[in-house]
Amino acid sequence: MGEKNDDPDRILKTKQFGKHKGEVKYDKKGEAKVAIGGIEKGILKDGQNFKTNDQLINVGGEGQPTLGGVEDFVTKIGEYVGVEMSGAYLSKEKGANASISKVYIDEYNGNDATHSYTSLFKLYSDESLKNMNTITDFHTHPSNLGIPRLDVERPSGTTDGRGDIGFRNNNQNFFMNFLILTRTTTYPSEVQRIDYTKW
Amino acid sequence: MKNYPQLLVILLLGFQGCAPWKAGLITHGTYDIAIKNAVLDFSNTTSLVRQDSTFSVDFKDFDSGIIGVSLLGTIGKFIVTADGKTSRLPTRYLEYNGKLFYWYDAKYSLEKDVITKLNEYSLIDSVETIAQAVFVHDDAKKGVNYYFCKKNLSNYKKIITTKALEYCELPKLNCSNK
Repeated sequence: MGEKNDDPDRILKTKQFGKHKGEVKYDKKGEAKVAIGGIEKGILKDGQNFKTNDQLINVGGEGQPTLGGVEDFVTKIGEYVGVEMSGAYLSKEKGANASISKVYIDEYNGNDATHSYTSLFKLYSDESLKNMNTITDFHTHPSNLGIPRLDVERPSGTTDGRGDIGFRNNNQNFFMNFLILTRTTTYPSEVQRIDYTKW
Repeated sequence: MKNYPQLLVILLLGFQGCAPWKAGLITHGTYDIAIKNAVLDFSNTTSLVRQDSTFSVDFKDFDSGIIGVSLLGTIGKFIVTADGKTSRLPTRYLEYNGKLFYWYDAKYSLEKDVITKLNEYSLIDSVETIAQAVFVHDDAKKGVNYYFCKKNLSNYKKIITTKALEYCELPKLNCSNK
């Protein structure tokens, strides 16, 4: 995470091997190489490991990131590491239009470009989450991995038993909304929301 | 000697035509029969049948006189929580050669024997809360899509694909007089 300032947060590239493993990489001008930039404040904390640990991010409150900011981040990190990210939007309220107060980002270990496995175990293990409702299931479709754009921008499976549509049909008792997050083809790219709740 | 390749092709086609399982294909009926024919073909001709022991079935009635049936190895279990929430459970199934094929048909209500069968194949994950469940999104698993002539359900084509019935280009089927 960068120093405390008003600039957006960023994740810097670090060396992966050798005795300098973990050290920040610098370009020829001496500037740190950025892996992911433009991250809204309040998402990143010291010691986070999105690969191995589930993350809970409060959204919408004072000093907290917006839901859109978290959506932007989760698509960026998914594309950077080359996997689908997944999780859920949580609220103390009930119903499809509930005000979202937390985003549960599941660890991405085991996911790949076309698969994601979501377990929301903190809902069980964290007492503060006992009264939270799962409102929206989300997963990302990475847009930078050579997957045809048509498949990036639509839920997999249009009929009952397959892919995202099959998932939605089977799990409407657990989630009210079903969302794919990806990135636009514009430059600079932006987060793109594909709501397939009623697709 | 130079006619051997053609002879081989003829012999292979002949053997395929004599496959005993083909006698089980039913010509006339609705999507239920199309599903049975698809399961019969799938179980006898594709290697995908060996990759899973349970398969979800999907079907779709196309306007063009074609019934589509899709068979795909199970992705994720059905979840039942202690507080009574459940995944939508299939209402129909059939077993063939020790494999389970199941599908949801809104015309049928959920019967106890379906739940028993799902349990038998360990397809139900009973958990205390949603927090202990695992939800799987799989956009890439390959299955087989079958396209049957409605007028003759033994006339069909199949496509091994990751895509759903509607996403695939309908194969050319001569459904007129067969």
